[in-house]
Amino acid sequence: MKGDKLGEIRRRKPFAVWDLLVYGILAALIAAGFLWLALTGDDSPLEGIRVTCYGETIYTCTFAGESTRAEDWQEAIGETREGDLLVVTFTFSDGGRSVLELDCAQRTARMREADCSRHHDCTRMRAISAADGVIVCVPRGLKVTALGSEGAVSPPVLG
Amino acid sequence: MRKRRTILSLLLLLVSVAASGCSALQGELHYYESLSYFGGTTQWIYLPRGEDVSVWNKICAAAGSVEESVSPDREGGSVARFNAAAAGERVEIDAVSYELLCLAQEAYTLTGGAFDPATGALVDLWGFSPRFRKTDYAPQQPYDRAEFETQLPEARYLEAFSSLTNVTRITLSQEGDRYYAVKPEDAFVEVDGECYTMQLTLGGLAKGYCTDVSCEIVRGAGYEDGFLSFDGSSIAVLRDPVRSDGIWGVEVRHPRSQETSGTLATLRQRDVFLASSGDYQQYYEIGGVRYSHIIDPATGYPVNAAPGSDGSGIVCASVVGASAAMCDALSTAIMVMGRERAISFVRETLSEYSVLFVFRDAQGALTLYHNFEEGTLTLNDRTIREEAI
Repeated sequence: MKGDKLGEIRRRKPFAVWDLLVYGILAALIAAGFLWLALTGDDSPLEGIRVTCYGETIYTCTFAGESTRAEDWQEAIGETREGDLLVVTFTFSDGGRSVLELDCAQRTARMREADCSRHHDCTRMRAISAADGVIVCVPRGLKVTALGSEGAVSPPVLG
Repeated sequence: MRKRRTILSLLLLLVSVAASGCSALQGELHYYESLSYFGGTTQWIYLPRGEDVSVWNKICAAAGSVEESVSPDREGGSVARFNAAAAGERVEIDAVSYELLCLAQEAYTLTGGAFDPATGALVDLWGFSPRFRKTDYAPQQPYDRAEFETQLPEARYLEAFSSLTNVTRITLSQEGDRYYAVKPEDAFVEVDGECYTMQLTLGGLAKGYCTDVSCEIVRGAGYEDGFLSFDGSSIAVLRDPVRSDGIWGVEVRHPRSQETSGTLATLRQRDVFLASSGDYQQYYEIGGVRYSHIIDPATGYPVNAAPGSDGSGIVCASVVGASAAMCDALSTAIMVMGRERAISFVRETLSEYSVLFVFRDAQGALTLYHNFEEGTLTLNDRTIREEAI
């Protein structure tokens, strides 16, 4: 019985037509899976930014030019255009200013100026260009994040 | 045929379950954040959602007590009292500062003095103490410059304060549950009739220590997934719940790329601590020379900025290991050591650590040196040369 089974396996071709079909379907499924992951990954271009002050949203802006300001911040937030750049100035109750620069062509945002501390740490933080970006100004409790990134898990960034 | 169909259906089912599992797990991570001014830094953490906030509150409380203990401008804190003490004076310190000083002495010995937190007087002289962060800064000390970002300190102060270093000269003792530190008797200098003594700056090490303590709290509460970070310079990574192997992709900040979001490298790590030091966050430039907050105790100058230097040197260093505090100390020490000494040090002493550093030559070209295992480091900037240690 054992010998018969072995002989049958030996007689069979290593790749029968149906075997190749199954392998082909599997390969197509794996490729589709990779494609799906690539298309749904978190590398979509930045749509806009959200600015919070001690947790309260005070400003949002899309690169299409739509912006919102919190009621208490209507007078304290100013916008000016410099070509592709949208320059947003936040004026605080102590007279201090933080200036955020949105590059609408490159779809990035960075802190251009801040007089929050003499070391200007927030102006040296990397520009935001994807959903996981963040700029934090600790003395003012200001945080800039990507619009729509709420609840998203950013990977750890060292340095 | 029936068997094959069954196998195919099972495979399809497996793929669907895996895909849905990924998105479900991603949704379970929760983001906590604090903007508390711990050395001017932020702290944040990701943990599985649905738990109470007691873990986060414990972490904040622990970080608060460390800040209280080590901040030089917190009246009544251990470091503030030690700094105010006269040479030879015995100062009672709390358990946090005692533990940090023990760690500091260990790191000083391990690095041959390259890591030395008894450089507080030099850090203050160069304008990197917390008081210089304030927008209403005004000169208080005889050596203060009106515009410290545009004027260099006087050479006589540099020379004088360079003699106040070496943390191993501090005598530490424990009596029951009380801890003491004796400021060395000869740790004082006089300039223009003013007496200056040894000063401690434990802020850098304290961030790593906070990361260690926080990770203990997190693990003690039973968490195995997530990560926590103190300002990005000290990180504990547990497991990434989205990936089956649990490995996080940790992005390393580019030392010369503030205008873009490009990162230097991606490290694939889990269940480890990481720390980083660099000359790109706290610095000012005078005459084309970058003066950063990392002081070389041997010269009294910020790294790569001593007179006669051609501007070349290590511009950032990252260390991965089993303790964030030690990784913190080691990354600072590697910055101070310079390329040749750092390579020998990593080869001979740091076999249990993964290390990377970026060397910038006099023309500005960057080279990444590292001893990471194959497949655990991906260089993201292709313009940088890569060398194995």
